[in-house]
Amino acid sequence: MSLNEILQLIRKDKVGMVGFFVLLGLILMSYVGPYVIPLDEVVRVDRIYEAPTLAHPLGMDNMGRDIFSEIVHGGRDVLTVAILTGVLSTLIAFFLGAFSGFIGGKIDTFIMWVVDVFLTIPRFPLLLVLAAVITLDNIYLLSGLLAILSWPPLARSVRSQVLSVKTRDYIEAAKLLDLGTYHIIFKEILPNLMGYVIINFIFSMTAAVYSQVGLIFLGLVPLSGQNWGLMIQMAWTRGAIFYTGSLAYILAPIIVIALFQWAAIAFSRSLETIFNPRLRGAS
Amino acid sequence: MARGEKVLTVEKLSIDYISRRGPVQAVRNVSFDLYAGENLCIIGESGSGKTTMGMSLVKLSPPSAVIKKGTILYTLGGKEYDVRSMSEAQLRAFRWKEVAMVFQGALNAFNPVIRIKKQFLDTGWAHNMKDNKEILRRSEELLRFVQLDPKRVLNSYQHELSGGMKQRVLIAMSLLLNPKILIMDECTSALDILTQRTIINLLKKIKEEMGIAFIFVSHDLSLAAELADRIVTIYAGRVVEMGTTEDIFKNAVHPYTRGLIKATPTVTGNEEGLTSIKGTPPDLIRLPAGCKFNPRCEFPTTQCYQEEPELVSIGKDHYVACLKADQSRD
Amino acid sequence: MSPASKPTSPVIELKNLVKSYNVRSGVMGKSRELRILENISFTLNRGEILSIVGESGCGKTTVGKVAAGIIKPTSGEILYEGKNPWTLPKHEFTEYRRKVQMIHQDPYQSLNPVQRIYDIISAPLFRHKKVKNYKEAREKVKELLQRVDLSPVDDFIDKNPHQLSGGQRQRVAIARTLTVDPEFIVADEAVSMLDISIRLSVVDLMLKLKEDLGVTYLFITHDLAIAKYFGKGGRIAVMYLGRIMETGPTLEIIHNPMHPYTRILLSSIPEADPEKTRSKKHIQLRSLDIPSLMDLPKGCKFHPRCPLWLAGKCDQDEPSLQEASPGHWVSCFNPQSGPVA
Repeated sequence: MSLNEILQLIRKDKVGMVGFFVLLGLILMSYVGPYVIPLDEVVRVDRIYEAPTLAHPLGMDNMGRDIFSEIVHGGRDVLTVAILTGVLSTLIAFFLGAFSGFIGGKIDTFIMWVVDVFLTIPRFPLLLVLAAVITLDNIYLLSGLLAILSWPPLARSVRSQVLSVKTRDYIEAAKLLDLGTYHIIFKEILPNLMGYVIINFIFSMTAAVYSQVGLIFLGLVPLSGQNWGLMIQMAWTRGAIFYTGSLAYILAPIIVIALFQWAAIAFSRSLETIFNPRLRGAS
Repeated sequence: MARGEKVLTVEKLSIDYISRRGPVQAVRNVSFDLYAGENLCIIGESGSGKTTMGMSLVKLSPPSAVIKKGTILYTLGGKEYDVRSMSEAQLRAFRWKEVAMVFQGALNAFNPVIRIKKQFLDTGWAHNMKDNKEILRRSEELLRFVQLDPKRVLNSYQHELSGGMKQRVLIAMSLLLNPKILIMDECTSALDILTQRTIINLLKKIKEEMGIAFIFVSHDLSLAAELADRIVTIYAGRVVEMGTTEDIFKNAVHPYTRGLIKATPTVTGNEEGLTSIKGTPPDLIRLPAGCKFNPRCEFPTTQCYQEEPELVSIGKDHYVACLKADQSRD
Repeated sequence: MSPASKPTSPVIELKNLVKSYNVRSGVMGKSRELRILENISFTLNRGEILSIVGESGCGKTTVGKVAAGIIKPTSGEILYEGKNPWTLPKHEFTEYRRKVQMIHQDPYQSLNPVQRIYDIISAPLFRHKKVKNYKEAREKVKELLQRVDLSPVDDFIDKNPHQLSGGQRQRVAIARTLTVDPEFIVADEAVSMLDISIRLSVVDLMLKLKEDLGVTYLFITHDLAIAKYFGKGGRIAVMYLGRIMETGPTLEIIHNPMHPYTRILLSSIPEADPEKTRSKKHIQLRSLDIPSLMDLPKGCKFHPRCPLWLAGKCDQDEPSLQEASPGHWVSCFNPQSGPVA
């Protein structure tokens, strides 16, 4: 499928298209924005919680700094953790799940047993405990930990997808035509799972956003620098909720996070049509 | 056959489906009547709109199906029922009691966690039958009528019954409230030959002994040959021919009806002249101009590409929608 | 000699074939043997057609899958060109695999939805080195599409399966089998899901391939009328609960069925001719219920439903296939004769 075709398909679903552009905008803002808009670090006691103006579209924070610049600089770490967690957990889930489904037998039973064990562990409390033991002071460690805790449900569903595709008539036909194991796995089965996997990647990304923001908010991840989660925590711990003018400070990070989540899920709808030719409709 | 009173009039019915690609014109300007005690078979292939039509007769079509125009008018027991203007509550009372239906896929219509007995009771209760004993007595009588062991069946769950048994239970249940009309959609196509035979014989018995009128929706000409008094052939959502069973099988005029007969092999007949209709059934979203059958017709004229023929009478009870109706008759 | 064979070169032979599974009922339940196929024997010569007819659950699909080498028999022998594929070295087994192809019932299931028609047909061409590059593959795919009457080919070659009708998909499935020059094709209800108006055209296509390429067919169906149309010059085997009840030349079986089961089947089929179908004499079954494979009756498996059963005989011993007239074999203690309708 050419890029052009993909763009056409994205355009077909209006909500998905909006999601796509919002997502693109947030990613650009978080990764390119910091080079364009400098972080405002000047403390201005006289301008605390100043209302939004043209020069400061989101107003000022509890120390009189520009909130907009904080939002621009606070996205990179959040998104990096989300993407890394998404990629890692999807990869683990995909390989273990697919392997389990293909091989079957004792190996399958064992992998699924491991999955079950992971599934019974309450994720968030465990993170709380781990955060107390390990110093999660860098985003890669945090991503790794989140990934290890979030692959099992997806692994289970990838396995069941493989099991279901494995019994289709077209797989039997491919065997009769002696197309080879490589062809059957990579050309017949995998493409049927792609849509599913990509969409699950997005879901695990959104889940990672909530987990990390939750941890940061609770103060369990001693990250430094700018970060949307940290902004919410600051707003909370510095008593912003007791001031009338501080609404923008509290809401700004919450809204970007929600916007990111919504855009990701909306975009996943477009992805569904891209990866599932049956949804495209006859042309 | 002496004809009973007219019990159903369908006039100029048009139904569209809303789909991502645009409106699907599933039923277009369909008119037909049903008479008391008669068996009317609606013959059409997949995607011809026959199921949409069947469901709409009791307003059970899915929300995406929009009745654009037309009348569905029942005259039963001296009362008139205009289905399109009835409320949901009125419809619920009307279905089963006046017109019962057994639809394709109905084999999964039973609730898997409730015994059959309870489902008979539920059906009775929903229609103001208060006396449980009476409902069960009637249920047992009907189950015996469909050659099932009432005691065993009533105490079963659906998974304990075979496909053919479930189909018979459904038929028994559809008769619980003494309907005057029974609508059946592809109700034997998933069944084996011997089971199908049981059901066919059963339907004949129901028609003879209870005087119920049938609308039988199917793709299977041989079922129509066996059961129908009159046959309606539909193509691309439209009635293309309508006539008595004898007329349809002996003097069919529309090239589609003729083609269908020629495309159906039989066990006793010979193979001479058997052949498929060329081309494929049309896409109901992008219908061709003029007669919708023109891409598959053997002898289309230029007029056929411009004008869609109306259904016109060409003999007693025999109607056809073909511009060349005069020439293609034997 | 096994039932119904001619002394010309056999392509495939099944000898006393049995397929059974061990099934466990419940978690703690005892393991029981579920016998799907019992003592199936037949021989198919080159260019012949054998139609296997029966109701659902009679084991006809399993016979097809055993013949195609997808299911390994529990006991008994399958011989392809005189050799048992399950004892062959791997490379010879794959060769047998290639010579035997299958056309599945559901064309919505047998083509991969994410591939284009070109991908579907070109994959085996590349794999088996029938073409060297994209250009050659494209040419060959077009030639094959032409061969199955999908023209103009440019309307089809780059489409996804879901953009095609059922009949067109089935033609693609047939074209795909032709990529490997099959000698023997198992067609499992290959036309039963297609619209009636186009069904015969696909059957005709399969017959044309038999003429052109000398393909041998195992035609599995529940529809005796189609079996008669497709296998006019061939043979029919009627199956019931994993056994062949009767086998013989197609027209002989249709016009002179001997087994009560075959006779009941034939008398039960409605026909697209009001006079004939309404004047048929229906033979009543003793019981409407098919016994479960888990709990088969003693003696002849059909006797609980058979109106012509002989007490003390049919419920005690199981009959075996006997040759009643040349090529016509029947497994019954009380065979009948003459047409049914």
